[in-house]
Amino acid sequence: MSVDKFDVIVVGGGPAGSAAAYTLAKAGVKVAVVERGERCGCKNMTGGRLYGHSLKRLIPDYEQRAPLERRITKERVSFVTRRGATSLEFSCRGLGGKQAASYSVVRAKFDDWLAREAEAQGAFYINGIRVDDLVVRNGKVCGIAAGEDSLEADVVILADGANSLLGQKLGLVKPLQPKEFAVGAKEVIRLGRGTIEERFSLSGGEGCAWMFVGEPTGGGMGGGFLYTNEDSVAVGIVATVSDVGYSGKSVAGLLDDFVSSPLIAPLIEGGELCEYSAHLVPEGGLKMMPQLYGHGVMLCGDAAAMVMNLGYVVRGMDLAIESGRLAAETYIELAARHDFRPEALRLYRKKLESSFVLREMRRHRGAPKAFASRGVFTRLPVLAEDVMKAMFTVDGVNTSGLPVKVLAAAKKYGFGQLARDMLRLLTSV
Amino acid sequence: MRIEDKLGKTRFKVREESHIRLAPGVPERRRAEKLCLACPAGLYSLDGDGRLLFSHLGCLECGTCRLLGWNRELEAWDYPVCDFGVQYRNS
Repeated sequence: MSVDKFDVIVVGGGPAGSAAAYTLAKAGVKVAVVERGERCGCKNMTGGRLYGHSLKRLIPDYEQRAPLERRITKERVSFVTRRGATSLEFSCRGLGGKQAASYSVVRAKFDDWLAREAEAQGAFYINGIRVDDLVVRNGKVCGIAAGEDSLEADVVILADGANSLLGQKLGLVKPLQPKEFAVGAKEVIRLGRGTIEERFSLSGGEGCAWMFVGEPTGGGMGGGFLYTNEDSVAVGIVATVSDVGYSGKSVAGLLDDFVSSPLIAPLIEGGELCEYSAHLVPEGGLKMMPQLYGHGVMLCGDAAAMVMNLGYVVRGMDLAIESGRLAAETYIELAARHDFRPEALRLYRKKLESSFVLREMRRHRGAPKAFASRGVFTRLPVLAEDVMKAMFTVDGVNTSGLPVKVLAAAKKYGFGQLARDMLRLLTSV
Repeated sequence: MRIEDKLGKTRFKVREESHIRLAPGVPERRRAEKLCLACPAGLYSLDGDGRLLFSHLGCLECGTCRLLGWNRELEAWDYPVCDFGVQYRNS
């Protein structure tokens, strides 16, 4: 393949970029992916879970091909206080069914695999190059620049991640706001396959996803997470950047306290820390979504803030993959007319509007606001604890009925505030 | 476990030159403290005179400090050139 001129250049070899490259290459489009990591995925981290539906559309037999860690069949949510936790567990062997299975993944392996799949379709990968700038001529994005070199194409697809410096340079992405982002930090602890299956009561190949609210972030906005990989567990916290410092503890300190808490420590006992990582998560939802296209340019995945956090479900990679595929389809449809003006590229937005990406982001647009209520992280775990304590305490002294005890717990939260918080949560998630 | 020991488990391709540069002068105390708390690698600290100290060794390239301090406490922030910096294998 000649490397002097490409039809499309994709910046970023994550799921969005590689899904775009895969789709383009498969249709015979000359596409180059420029990725700063020596290998795709080596700059990326995830909480841990991929909802597979959009990848299945792209690569129907991905379950036989991709390096997936464990199929999630057990969901847990815990409201954590300093004293304990109120947990909900749901396990179901067929969770998600055939179309909607979800898997824990390790990005260094997964992203590299998806890149190779795209490469096999004919995409050209350029690794180890940081793109410094975009080549813009008469208001049209014509290519990319890295150091002294530049590379031109009809269209550039920006899939350069949560902190999209290029999207910001172009003015499509507004200056990033600390209240719209969370910082995630995690530890990957190697335990061995058998130990994981024993400690989490899992059968071979099955996995557990676990969300935590409350104490893991010291009552700060955010939460904790745990995902079982094949032979390791990923434990981490996610903290809204503007709210860092609420508890007086550092992000690193919160994570350290979380992994050594009585809730987590016994589960990772004897394990070996094999990696510590961190990443930004765009959590502002629809409201923070940038302009998705410009003259000769489209934005995908995290760069376009395509993340949905509903507390019990956190999604990003499935939206990234779909947006990459749709950006590619947009190019393929417009290529014949060779018209890549914003008026034409609006087609990309239209495709997103009729896909699950914007439909679901619109449906859940209230979630970021619902999760900006302090009570969810401070009083809700205490309320859950009070109710459970009332249910399970037998002391022969407090003889009032459960409804009275529950009302007393709710009063502590504040009836008005509780009603407002619950209403917001229920209507948005 | 200390953060330094945790970072010791993560692989880096080290480059002498930092990809992040602090602005000169004494920063606003509260803002500087937030940077110290927010960096997940704990690379920011304050000295006795209230000046920010920073080392790029161990930087996870998350961009949190850029979000909090760009154009104020930080005068330059970019990803490391070429393929330098953090090299995740298990995340």
